[in-house]
Amino acid sequence: MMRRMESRIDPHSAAFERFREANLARVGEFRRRQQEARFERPQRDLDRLAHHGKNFVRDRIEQILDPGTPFLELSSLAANSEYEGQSRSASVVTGIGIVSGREVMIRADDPSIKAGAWYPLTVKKNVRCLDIAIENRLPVVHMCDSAGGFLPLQAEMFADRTSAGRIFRNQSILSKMGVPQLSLVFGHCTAGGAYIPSLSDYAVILRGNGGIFLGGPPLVKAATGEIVDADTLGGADVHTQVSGVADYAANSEEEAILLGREIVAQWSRPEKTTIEMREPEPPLHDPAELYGIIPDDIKIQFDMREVIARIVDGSYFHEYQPDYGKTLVCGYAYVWGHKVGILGNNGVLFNDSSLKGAHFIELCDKNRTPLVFLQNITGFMVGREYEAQGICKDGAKFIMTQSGASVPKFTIMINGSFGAGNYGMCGRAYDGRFIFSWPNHQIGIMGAEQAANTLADVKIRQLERAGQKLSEEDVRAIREPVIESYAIESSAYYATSHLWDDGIIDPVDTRNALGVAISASLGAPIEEPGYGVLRL
Amino acid sequence: MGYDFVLGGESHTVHPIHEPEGPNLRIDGQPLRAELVPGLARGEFFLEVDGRRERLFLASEGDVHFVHWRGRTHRVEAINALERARRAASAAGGTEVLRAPMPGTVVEVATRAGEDVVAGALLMTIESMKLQTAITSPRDARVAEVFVSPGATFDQGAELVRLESAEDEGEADPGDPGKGGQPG
Repeated sequence: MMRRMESRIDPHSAAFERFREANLARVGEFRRRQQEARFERPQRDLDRLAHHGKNFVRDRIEQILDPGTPFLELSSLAANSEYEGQSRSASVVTGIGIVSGREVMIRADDPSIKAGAWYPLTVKKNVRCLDIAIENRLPVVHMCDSAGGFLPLQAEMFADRTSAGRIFRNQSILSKMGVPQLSLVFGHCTAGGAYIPSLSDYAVILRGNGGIFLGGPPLVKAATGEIVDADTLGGADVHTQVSGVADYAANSEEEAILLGREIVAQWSRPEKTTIEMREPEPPLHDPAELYGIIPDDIKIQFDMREVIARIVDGSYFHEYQPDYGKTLVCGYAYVWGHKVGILGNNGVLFNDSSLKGAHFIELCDKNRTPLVFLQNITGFMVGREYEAQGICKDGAKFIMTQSGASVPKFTIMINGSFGAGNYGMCGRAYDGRFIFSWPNHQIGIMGAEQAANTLADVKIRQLERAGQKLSEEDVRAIREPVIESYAIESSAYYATSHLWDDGIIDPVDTRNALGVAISASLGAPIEEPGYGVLRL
Repeated sequence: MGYDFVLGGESHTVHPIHEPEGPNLRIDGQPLRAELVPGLARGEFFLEVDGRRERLFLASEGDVHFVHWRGRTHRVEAINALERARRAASAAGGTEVLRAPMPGTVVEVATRAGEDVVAGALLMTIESMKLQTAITSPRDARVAEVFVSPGATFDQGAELVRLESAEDEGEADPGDPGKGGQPG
């Protein structure tokens, strides 16, 4: 039982209207970019796909999902700022959906871009998708259709701990954990890619287009002089009748997909971890009002309670310590029927707000209540008074308990995420199960203006020590490029391009994204709580 | 914990009780067994109380429910018991001092002493750590005193605005404006 949240906003005010217009423009830009990444391809690439009788990757996914069920796509704008924008969505589609009544992770190569070749960020996205599968014990359906690694950039994706080898390691760990995987081989799986179906519990291969081999025909010819065509080397019949690398042959993509659905239907459905649940209900306050709440200027503060009221079931919220450490709002609510503990920023983190956060996280962890972090944070408070009060050790308590919490954690980048505030509030390094960002989100070690001023000051002092006197124009010439590159690198698009999150979402979709994510997270058991040493 | 239902200006307290058979509600202390069975039409329900069966239509907007029964529509507002207790306590009003949530500077003062404001009204904008924060009125009130002016700097916890109940005559109460607040 909880009380309804009251809203203090005035949807008829000039500020609301101004913010609304700014945010609708931001969301429009996001939708435009997403549409482009999902569907826009040069005509010759689409023609080539049709010539080979291949379906578009998104049609394949739609066909395998249970009709009318939600699909939570992850990182739809990955790689948008790299490789001249060529590797749309990083050339692979990943997401959580329902197949034959089971929640699964889908990982589908996109052969409409450079024949599905993997770029370094494709590898990063593949690894992340399988990390998610491991953390949440989600079965995986691979749709394989890739020419292999994009050779000109091979050094960036081959040998490191989180490079391509990690994909196959993660597949092996999934299998060890008893989490099933299915591969549908629609195209070639060459070299490392051959291990994806080989490491899956079940593999279906398409006659004609499908092929699995460690070395393709050109490599074989170069290595041994043997001349062999792809089908004889690693086609459907070889692998399902002779080698045993794949289990079923299919004559069409449709047959492969329907067979895949039947295979998934054979998997047992493990029981979910139980947490407090209730009947879901939509928020009382209209989520569309979020557009009028988030300011058009990152320097303007807003009340995170107004956001919470538009994300949680029935706008019911039990606020914890409402009069203490007021720059961090903490409390309990339900999201699509799942009980969660929410921590949201209402200003800079002080000693008291850090202690409140640490305390609340411990309560949730002991109470087996998943945590949702709503970030809009400039950092921890600075200044003599706060250092003397031990802001460092209080911040450390917050980071320590947050890192140590064993309940599933979810983060929404509502607006700013700067400095150590990103760390305390469960940024990427803290292994939250999912992070989603709003299009207005900005992220960096500090704000753009502060960074530019700091860098310019250092530079100016260096030059002055060398005896140079700088005019105002010189100072501007130093500051402006810094501000410009900082603005690009701190944008939500740059962040999502590099997979610092699991995708940008429209603010009104936040409750739905969280609902799918929380439900998926309950596939894994919650470990016993335990913490490191707090500096008291 | 139960709900208060306000019907025709009168408040009734309803508690759900959990007995396998027999009464499942206690209304103003009186036990009662009631079942609400959905009908086929949108909003249609059948209410069974003590063996009687009544057809009614329900429409809800948040915690306000409209019940159409025997040709008349009744407005019923559900009030969470804790919320009612809090409202009763805060209705007493009185003076309240709004303090600075963090150290900073006053950007803009949007009110003046003597002004009546509604809950949520902007009183002033402050800036701290490069962030602008709106100081708003937590309730319907009259502004008794503004302690700071634009450009002034202040410490965390400094007094910014004093509110009093709008019904008060607003007689002069100098308070202690020097404490914490600094002249601009």
